[in-house]
Amino acid sequence: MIAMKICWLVLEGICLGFFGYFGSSMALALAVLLVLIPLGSIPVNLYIRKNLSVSLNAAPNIRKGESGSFSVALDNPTIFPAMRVRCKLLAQNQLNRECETIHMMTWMPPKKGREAALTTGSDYCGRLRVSVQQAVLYDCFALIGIRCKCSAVTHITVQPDTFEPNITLIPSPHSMDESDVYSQDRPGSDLTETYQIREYVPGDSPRQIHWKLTGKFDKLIVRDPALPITRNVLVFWERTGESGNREIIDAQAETVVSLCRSLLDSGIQFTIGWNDTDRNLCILHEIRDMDELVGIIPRLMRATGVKESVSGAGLLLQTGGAPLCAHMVYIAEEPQSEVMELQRFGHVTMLLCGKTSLDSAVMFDPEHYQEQLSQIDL
Amino acid sequence: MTQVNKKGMWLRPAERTQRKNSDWILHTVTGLLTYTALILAFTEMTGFDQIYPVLWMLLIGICLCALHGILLAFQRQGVFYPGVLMLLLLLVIFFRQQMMDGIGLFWNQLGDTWTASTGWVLPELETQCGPQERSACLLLFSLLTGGIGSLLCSMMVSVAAPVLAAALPGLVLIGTTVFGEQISGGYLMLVMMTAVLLLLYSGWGKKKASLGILINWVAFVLVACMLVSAAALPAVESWASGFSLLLHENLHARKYETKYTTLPEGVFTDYRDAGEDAKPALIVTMEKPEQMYLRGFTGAVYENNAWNPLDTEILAEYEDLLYWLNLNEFNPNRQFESAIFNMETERNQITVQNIGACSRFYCLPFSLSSDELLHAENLNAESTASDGERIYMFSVVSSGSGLVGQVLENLQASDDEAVMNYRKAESAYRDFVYRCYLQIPQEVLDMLEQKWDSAANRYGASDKLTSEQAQACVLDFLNQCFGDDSEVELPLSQVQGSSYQYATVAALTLRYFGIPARYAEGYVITEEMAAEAESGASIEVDSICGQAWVEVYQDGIGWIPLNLTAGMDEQESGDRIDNSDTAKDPNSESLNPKEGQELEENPEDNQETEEPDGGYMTNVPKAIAWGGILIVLIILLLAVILMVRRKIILSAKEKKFRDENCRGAIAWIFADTTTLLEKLGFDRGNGSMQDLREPVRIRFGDGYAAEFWNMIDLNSMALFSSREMTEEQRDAMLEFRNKTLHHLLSWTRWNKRLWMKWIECRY
Repeated sequence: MIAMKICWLVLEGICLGFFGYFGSSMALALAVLLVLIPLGSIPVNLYIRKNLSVSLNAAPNIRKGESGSFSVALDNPTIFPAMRVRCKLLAQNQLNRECETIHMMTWMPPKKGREAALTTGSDYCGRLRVSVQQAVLYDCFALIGIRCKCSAVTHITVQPDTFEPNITLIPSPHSMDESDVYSQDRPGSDLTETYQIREYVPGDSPRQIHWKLTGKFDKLIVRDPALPITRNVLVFWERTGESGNREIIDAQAETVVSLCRSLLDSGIQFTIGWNDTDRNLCILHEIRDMDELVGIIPRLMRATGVKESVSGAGLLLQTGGAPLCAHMVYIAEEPQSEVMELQRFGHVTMLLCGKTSLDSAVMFDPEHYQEQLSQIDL
Repeated sequence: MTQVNKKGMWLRPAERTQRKNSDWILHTVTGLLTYTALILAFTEMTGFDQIYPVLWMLLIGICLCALHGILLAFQRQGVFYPGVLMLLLLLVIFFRQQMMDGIGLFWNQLGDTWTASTGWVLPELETQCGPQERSACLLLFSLLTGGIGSLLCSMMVSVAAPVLAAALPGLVLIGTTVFGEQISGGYLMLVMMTAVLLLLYSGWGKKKASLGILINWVAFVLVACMLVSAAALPAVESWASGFSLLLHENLHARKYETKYTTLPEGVFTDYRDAGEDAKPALIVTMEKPEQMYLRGFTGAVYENNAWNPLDTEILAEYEDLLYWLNLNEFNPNRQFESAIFNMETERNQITVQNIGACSRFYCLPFSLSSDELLHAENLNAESTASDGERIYMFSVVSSGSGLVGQVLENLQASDDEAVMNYRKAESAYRDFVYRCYLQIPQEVLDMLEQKWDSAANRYGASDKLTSEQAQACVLDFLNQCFGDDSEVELPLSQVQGSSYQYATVAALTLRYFGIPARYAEGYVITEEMAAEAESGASIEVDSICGQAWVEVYQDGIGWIPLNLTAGMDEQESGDRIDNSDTAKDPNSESLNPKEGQELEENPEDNQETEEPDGGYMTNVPKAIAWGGILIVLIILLLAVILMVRRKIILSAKEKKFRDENCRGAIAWIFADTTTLLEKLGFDRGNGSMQDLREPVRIRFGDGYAAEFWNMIDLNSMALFSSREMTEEQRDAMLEFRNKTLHHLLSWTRWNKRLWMKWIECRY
């Protein structure tokens, strides 16, 4: 850009120099033309910017360390050419706030689009938010810029690498072996036990219809399955108290996903949860199969952490999610004070990778976490 | 377990994908045409007229462009650039010397063209090749140039076709300006067609695109043609040359002149008589004081009432001759010294300190002996910005004017080898002088031809006069023109009666009668001044001594002031042409009788010279002043436009905010507040406004954040709820908007505030 401006300046200087020294009217015409071109492109660019559109297309998932390609498509439906379009693209890893910016320069003929291919990727897992921050139209010498209002966003999930921890679910000494304990607060998926009886609403599964009661009341009655909590595990990722170390965040994310996968492989019903630090919400998702786990990963990969805010453990206590599970895995960098209160509801296994160590916690570090977490007793 | 070296994320352009277009034929044709147009225009402009090298250049370029096209068709273009570069490198390695000679030959050819058009001499490169090897060297140079040119064209067509489309005519236009060559219409058409094809190629995908590009390009070409046509108008050309002249004059005045400088240097357009106030010009110190004509500016060509030096085109035409003279150590400034040879003559050491004269020219007499001028720093404190010589020393042949006849005899009698060499060189120079210093402009011929002929009547036809008869005719004519009751219309009427007019008429008259003459300006140390001065004492030469005289070319000796010309003293000793006296004493009986009268008759001239600094107002400050006023007016107009625009936009906004439909008004106000928040850096992007609550709270506190939350709800109600909104709610929203605006004003810098106020009309 600067080189082009300097080129223009030199060219203009040469023309004016020739005009001044030799009195050449042709050089004067050229100098005037060099001024008129950028000025004349202003109204053209003002018109183009109203119609210019930009879009981003990307593959949804990539692996860590691999490049994922995406394209920036610019469309110029006007009859004027856009001599120079400069786009500022920002890629941000929403998990660890890592950012990269790139400027892209292209041009567009009239009534035609232009597509530019770019690649992005990260050595850390997370959700990459790629956006066109700015599109500026310039004249051919890149002297006068007209900013466009168009913007576009796309997302690419850098999938975490997983390992296979052996998980042993140790029953609670307080639980009764002969029967499961079911949640009183929310339905589950165990059809052998009924959570509640209610009238049919569209969307209910036919398997839920209670035919006897339907016949008795002469209207469709359904029963909701119950949620057994004795062998239910809550995997909770604390996003408060984070130092911002990307390797630690990466290790935690991989631990969470690997743990969920092992739980799924072991046939243990579990719920995954984390705290949304932007909105101060506790997010809980019951995972029944691999599809649900895969589906939840993009959301999990944008769970931005903060150093200080309302803790996830505190939010969990407020939402009352803790009583749903007899076992809880609490993954954090620094344990929050409220985590001790969670132990009232069940056994809490803490997996910590920060500087604070607790006697009851399993400590791991970003370099050796796969070895350190190869065996986890819940 | 392997340790992974984690580095973070990246974002970069993808590696260039293989070309999938099937339009390789079009690409090849475009490349070929571009290369051909470029080379033909290049050779046309630079005057590179050897047919075979040009043909080879074209051939190699066309072959390479075609090869690139074929490789493109087979998707193997990746090998093209390294392969061709390798070949060119081998060519350079094996034929290094020949290649360098070829470049040297081309450079010298280019230099000749450049010199012919601009008069600037480029340094000449020495070549080692003989005449028979020249064509081979040029051929190799053509191969190299053709290879590089075709590589660049192929690459530019692939990568940046529109840039090439704009650059191609631009280069041609610059080339024609630089080399001053008029490119023929055929080449120009080829260039323009290629540029259009390039643009078409770059947007070939759709018919509509091609049409659009064509329309745009035609519009651009029309504008360019209009500008070029406007530039070719005589009025514009005249204005441009006038501006250039004015610029030169002012630069010249700033660099070389002081407020005491009075000589016009051959240009009388804005000449103002310095009057009788003596202004210091030179301080001359002589070992042996003597009469001396210290000439500065000399004029060879008279046109449009001004004397100019020889045109650069003429000098370029005689470039070989002048170079040969230089090689033979023939210096026209020291010609008299060269002509003396072994004669016993005395030397006179002279020091000149320039304190008020134009320092661009040395003030030197015709009898200069040694030109080993001693440069000194600028000693004139009043002209700190000036440049040029301010003090210098030289020696002259003492009493040179009295030796002219003797020198001529000596030259004719001597058969010394050095004398013969001198005569040879002088003969060549004389030929140059006779070709260049006999021109008379047509308007002067129309004005004076009959009078000149009538003056020559007593001797016969004007073109068959002897030298003595011609000189006598000249003196007769000058006496007739500058007599007391003369009513002859003469050139340079604006300086009527002055030595400038006298010298001009004399020079042109001498030329008419076949005597090469030129106009000279400078300072005259008269015999009286010399007589009063002591040896080694300073002689103050002031502006009154500044005048013009005519110099004639004395065969064998060189340029000599007219009254020193051999033979003239004997013939007309009582009626000598000596305008130094007339210049000093306007009341004396002389050939310039009107000089004193003119001073009395033109009181305005005297008034103008009474300016305190002795200078005069030039047109450049006026132009700058007018330009400044124009710029101020444009700025004022823009300011008014901006004010009116802002008023209209704010009025429309206010109308929307005060709309009776409170739901609409609230939505408008909130939308406006959203843009203000965006300016503050709270860009929601595609997300919800509620996402901004926390960042807003962190920056502006809980109170503002709570209000922001309420306003989001209020806006949602206004947009989606069926409830009626009240004026109080609208006012609350307006108050929130004002708070946001207040935050924005306090958080942004003054320049952005100005931008938002006057350009974006936010408030």
